[in-house]
Amino acid sequence: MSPRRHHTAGANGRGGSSNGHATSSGASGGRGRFANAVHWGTIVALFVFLAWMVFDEAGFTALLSALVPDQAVVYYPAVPLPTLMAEQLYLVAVASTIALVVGVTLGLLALSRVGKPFRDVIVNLGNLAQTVPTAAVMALAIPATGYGAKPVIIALVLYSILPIMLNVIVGIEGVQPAALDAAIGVGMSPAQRLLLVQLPLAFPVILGGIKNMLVINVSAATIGAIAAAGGLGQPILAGFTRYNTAFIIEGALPAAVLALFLDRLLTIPGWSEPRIGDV
Amino acid sequence: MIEITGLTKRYGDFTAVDNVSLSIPDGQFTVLLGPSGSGKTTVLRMLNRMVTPTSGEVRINGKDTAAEKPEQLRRSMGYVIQNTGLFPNMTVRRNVATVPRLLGWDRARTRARVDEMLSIVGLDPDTYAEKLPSQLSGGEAQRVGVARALAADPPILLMDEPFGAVDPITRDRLQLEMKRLQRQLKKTVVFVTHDIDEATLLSDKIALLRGGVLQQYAAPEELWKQPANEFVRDFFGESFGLRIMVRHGLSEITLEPVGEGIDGLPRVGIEATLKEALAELIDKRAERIVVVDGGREVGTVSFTTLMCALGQEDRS
Repeated sequence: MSPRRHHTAGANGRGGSSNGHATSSGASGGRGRFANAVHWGTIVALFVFLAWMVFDEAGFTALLSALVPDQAVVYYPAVPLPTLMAEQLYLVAVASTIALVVGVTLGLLALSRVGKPFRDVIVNLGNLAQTVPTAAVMALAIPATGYGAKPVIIALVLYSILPIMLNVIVGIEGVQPAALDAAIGVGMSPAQRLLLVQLPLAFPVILGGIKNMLVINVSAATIGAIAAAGGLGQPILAGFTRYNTAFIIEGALPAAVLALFLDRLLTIPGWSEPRIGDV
Repeated sequence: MIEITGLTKRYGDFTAVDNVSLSIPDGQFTVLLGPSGSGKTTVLRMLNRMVTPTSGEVRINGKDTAAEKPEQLRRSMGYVIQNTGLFPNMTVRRNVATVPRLLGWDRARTRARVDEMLSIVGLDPDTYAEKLPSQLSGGEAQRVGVARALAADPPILLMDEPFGAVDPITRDRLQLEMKRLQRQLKKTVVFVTHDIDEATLLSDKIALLRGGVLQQYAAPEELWKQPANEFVRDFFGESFGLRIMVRHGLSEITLEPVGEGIDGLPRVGIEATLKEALAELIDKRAERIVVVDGGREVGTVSFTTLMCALGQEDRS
């Protein structure tokens, strides 16, 4: 066996350190199987809890009442929770898809022969985009796009390009030199090298970036309520203005569980790591 | 036939390879030998144009390699490197199938070829084909590397210190198998190493480089008997003669007749090398040992016999 090289996706801004390397190889033995069972058990439990909150209105209301006993109205009346969750998922899905395409493209561009001189510039631009607060981007975008989903999606996209792009760059630059040397030596074209060797080997690292992006987007999309984009931020915002803690929990708890669920779902124990290790 | 003419590589002011010319006939096992920084790897990588020469040319069967598409050229040459360079995301089967797939072979042919190549390098396809490189030992991984290089049956095999990172015992075994494999498949092999023993054992001819300049290009026996300069003599050192003894077997030399008084003398098989025979003489503190061929006594060997045998090399 060989030592495993762990790739970490560098400075990912907030939430960056969650680019996890969850468990041991898990390929063989009872310990690996146990870790696997815990992993998938957690995913199922989070999903069931999430679905229960969203769809069992009476049950969730009872929970909110128990948590905030002195509040008369605990369930946000204006928009039902399934609709809010759907809006939330829409914002995250659209923004993440765009960010994925743009981020991967920019990352590959930064690594290409044409883009190599601009690698640092591209990375710095990505860093810069991440330093601007999401709410500020939304506020600035509203005059141009009007209220609704658009300014939120713009802000989320700007915000999520960096983790994707950076992980593409770090992942591909981290491909062991011997594998790349061999890929050239056996006569692969640059495109074949990218598709058959570099991207598959960088995939666990890129997946880490995707995971980061989703977690960031689920939380950041709640701010979308200030731009009237709906989503789980709506009851949170209402809770703030009406001093209703129950409304805040009604939006925040599903959002948090959704983020946890996505994080666990994209952490694949024993699969992502061995493939990046040295031969 | 590989003809290298005036091959030069400069990086700015630094000359990595300086006007090297070599002619490598088909089926020859050629070792590029030299200390680190001597330019041997650069020469190798100019053969498949992973490094573009500053000047000079490489012709293969008369065709200038610069005229060919680099990818096409590389697919016609096997390539093995230190640390195997196996693709860790692919199974052993996929790794070995790399070049056949690039060449567009159909599934059945590729599959059969992979099984055949794994068997040739001494790995059971049923046991190894579906493993990932991370599940292999260093020696096994290196065998897969050789199988991958040979998969599309290229006439030329380029090897860059392929056994540099495996443990000494595995290395010895891989070297012997490499020699057998090359004789069996009659490939033209160009092999880079800095290990004199490895070079002496495997090569038909050694090209010794220093600071990018070719010092001498000859069989080890000639390098020993007629070194072109002081550097060549010093590089191979005092024990070069002893090293050369591994290249020759008892079956190649004139033995002394069996005669009388051989009872109680140590015995050695005809398949032994001269070095093994010498080791036996020293080990047993014997003046003579009996050579046996399948139980039959075919002759005896003494120090004098061995010295004469090496002397014959002088005249050949």
